[in-house]
Amino acid sequence: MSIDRRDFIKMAAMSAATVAAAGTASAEPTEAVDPRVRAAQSGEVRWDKAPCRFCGTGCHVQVGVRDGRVVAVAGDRLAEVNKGLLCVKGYHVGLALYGKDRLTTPLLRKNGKLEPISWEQALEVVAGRVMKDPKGFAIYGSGQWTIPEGYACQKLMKGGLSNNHIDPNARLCMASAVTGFLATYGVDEPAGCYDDLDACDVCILWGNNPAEMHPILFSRLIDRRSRGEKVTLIDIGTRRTRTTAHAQHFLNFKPHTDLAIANGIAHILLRDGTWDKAFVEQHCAFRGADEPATLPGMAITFEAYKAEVAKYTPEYVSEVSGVAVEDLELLGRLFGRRDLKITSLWCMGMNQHERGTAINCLVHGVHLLSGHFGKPGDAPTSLTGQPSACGTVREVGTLAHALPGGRVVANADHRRQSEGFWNVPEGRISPKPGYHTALMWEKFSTPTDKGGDIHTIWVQVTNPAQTLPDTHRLFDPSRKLADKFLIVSDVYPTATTREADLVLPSAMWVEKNGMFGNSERRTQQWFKQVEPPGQARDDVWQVIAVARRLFELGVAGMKDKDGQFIFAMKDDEGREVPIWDFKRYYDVNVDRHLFEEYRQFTRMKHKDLAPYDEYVKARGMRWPVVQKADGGWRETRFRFAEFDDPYVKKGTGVQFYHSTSKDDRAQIWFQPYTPPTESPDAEFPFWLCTGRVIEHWHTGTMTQRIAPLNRAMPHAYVELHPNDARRLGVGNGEVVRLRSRRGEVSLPAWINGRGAPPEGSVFVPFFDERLLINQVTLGALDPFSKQPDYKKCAVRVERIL
Amino acid sequence: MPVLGVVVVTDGAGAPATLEASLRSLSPGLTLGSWQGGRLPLVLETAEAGQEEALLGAIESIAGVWAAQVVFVDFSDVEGVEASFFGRRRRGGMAGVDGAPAGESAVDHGGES
Repeated sequence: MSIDRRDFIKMAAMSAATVAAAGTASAEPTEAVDPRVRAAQSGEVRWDKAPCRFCGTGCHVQVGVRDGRVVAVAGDRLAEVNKGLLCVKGYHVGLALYGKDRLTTPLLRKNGKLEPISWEQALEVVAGRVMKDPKGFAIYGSGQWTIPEGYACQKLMKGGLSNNHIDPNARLCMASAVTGFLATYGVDEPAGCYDDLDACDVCILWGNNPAEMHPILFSRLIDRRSRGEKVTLIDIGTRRTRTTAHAQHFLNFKPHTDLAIANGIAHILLRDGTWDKAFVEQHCAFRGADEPATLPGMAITFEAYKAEVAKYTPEYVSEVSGVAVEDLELLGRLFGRRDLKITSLWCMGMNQHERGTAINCLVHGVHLLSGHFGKPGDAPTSLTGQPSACGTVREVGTLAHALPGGRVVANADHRRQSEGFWNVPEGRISPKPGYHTALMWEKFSTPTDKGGDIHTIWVQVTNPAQTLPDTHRLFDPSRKLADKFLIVSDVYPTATTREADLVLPSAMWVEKNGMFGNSERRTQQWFKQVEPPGQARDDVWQVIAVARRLFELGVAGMKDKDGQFIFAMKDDEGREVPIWDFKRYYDVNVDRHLFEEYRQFTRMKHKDLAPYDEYVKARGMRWPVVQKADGGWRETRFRFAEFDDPYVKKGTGVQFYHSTSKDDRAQIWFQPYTPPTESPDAEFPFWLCTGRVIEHWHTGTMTQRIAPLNRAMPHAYVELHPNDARRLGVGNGEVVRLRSRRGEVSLPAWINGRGAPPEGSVFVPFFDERLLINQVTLGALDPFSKQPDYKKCAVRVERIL
Repeated sequence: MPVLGVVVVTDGAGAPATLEASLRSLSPGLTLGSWQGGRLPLVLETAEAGQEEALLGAIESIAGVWAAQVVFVDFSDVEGVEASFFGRRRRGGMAGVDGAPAGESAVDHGGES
């Protein structure tokens, strides 16, 4: 019998592969899983859609469930993002549920040990911490929060407790992209989308390694080449990666000097007169830094801009950056050509940068100055690392200063609108921004009598003990302060749960309903497909159950203007459902209720979302989603472009309708290159860059529990140039010590490895909690986004004798 | 053990028979399907979980192969998903962690160079 079933499985695999091989060249598929695959599995496997749990690409998988367990995944043939394909993490995603050490019961630290307690007791503890001093309670969340999870936290904190101390780990990954979009266009998130990858002639990768970090998107480019199309890839990077192997040009620049390179491109465009004068005159204005520096900056003239970039000759930029003059000229020439379509992609390389806002603005500026904008294939596009950094953090606004739909707490109108949508009394929302991530953790790690006014942090869906920069300063001290209390909701033991005072076991991925929003403004939905283990429960439920406990304790903020519980929900017959009782939680679709409430917020900044039920039918839709005359819903692929964006005035071609200069123009910024906070010197002579690997996602808490992935990449390492290794007397695999001014870590050397840093540079991935590289990193913050720089600091490499 | 459905994307320049021979020589666990233009569907199964990564890498290193794209995985037979991180040492260096020998080579990651 087992042989028969094995044969069935192989038939299903061959059917899926044959259909995928043929399908790319034939008609659009009409079913997510090919009928032959279903037939081969004899109907014993139930299939349903879900976006992948891991990165920000937003691939859809079909999840195969048998006997209450996920047993198979297939690429979703109806998904535009991945067109039926999966990456190495994606095709293992089902196994992420089944680590042997799932958290299955609440744990409270007693006498130094985490001991099981009931959910009732756990809720009482959380409520007690809030009651101790509601203003000193904070939530630290995530770009892995589902949209309803983030929204529920946002409402609890800002709409309930009048407390803005809520910030996400996305502050560590894409905050500078946000400030770059805001400073340039007056509104967040990319104008383009993944369709640009199918249409561009040139793809420029700014400190970006999509072959490992966004492999499905990269495969769209490579796939075009296999069909005989010409796509030029230019890798502007600080080390060689798998992406470099596919690129026609590799421009190896010194860390931080991307600012000079971008200014250098502008210089060449102006020098050669190849900038797009008509586009600029019609659609752009110029901007420079003001004093004191603000995000909107100040208007400058074209002449002033030209004078500023005059200094950035190819020769000067080459001297600063290490990139050859001819390669800089190549970039300038390509941007100067109107017959080409150019897409720029970036991710952490430009965002985890102490001048991340500036480099984001400069890359947008190069596209605007050259007119490579607003047509399919012509776009500057930031990628995100987490599945809902856009959907939950940027759109729901789960940041210390933000409110849903592009609003901010400092704006009285925005507060009034939000209070209206939430039906809470006017004045409920505090006008003072809360603490951003680094400040929140600094306050938590500072004694109360010395100004450390955060006494409790509730961490959800993230692992700050591993990901915060300079953990010795930002994370560790709090663990020695008796009055500081750390609550962590998670699915597995992590570096953070191990240090927690209270651990709450969470349901993950298809163990609960959910919604994500990916890098290209695509909102996605899925349904619960299997039960969570033990007492693990939905994060949304955890938030609502705590809110209910506070309501019962008489906390005024848990009531709306009518005296009702702020998370009250009714069934189709109009009866209130006690969703805070977990047995009743799925009596209504809580996600649908929360999403429909949130939808009201989405229209102000032209971020309109469709009704929940539309997302049930789709493989996501890109906002703004507007209703058509026939009642159907239409997504938008290319924002600000008349041919596709319904909000652009007819006849304008391109309209930046949220312009910071209020004249429908985007801003072309000048930002000077200035040296970084810390550079190699005699004592610490190497650059350290940190990042990810293809096998593991973020801190590895899920992927390190997937046996094949863990075997493929069992631990972290340091990439070292062979000349440096020779000079230090270090052999491949030998353990070396990396020391910075902040800390040290010892790990094995990898010489001529997967990535190849240049002489004087080393690279370490951050997925491995045993080899905690963030004891070493710097933590310098971008002045506007407050995002830390993980991509460069000075270290010493020592051979361990 | 997992069963994978894979599409091998080629540059279309080489002889199909040569490529098929190269693929067959990699593992007896490969079942080749019928060519669809320049794409060859195949089924990959391995004796042990984890070997598929090395096999996919080997396929991609064959001359004329652009990519090995995975579209289907059944892991219903995969057991022993590992890693209990409780008790792992959080701070410090490599030597002695989880019993891993100091100097365990970081280059044994699929034979990449």
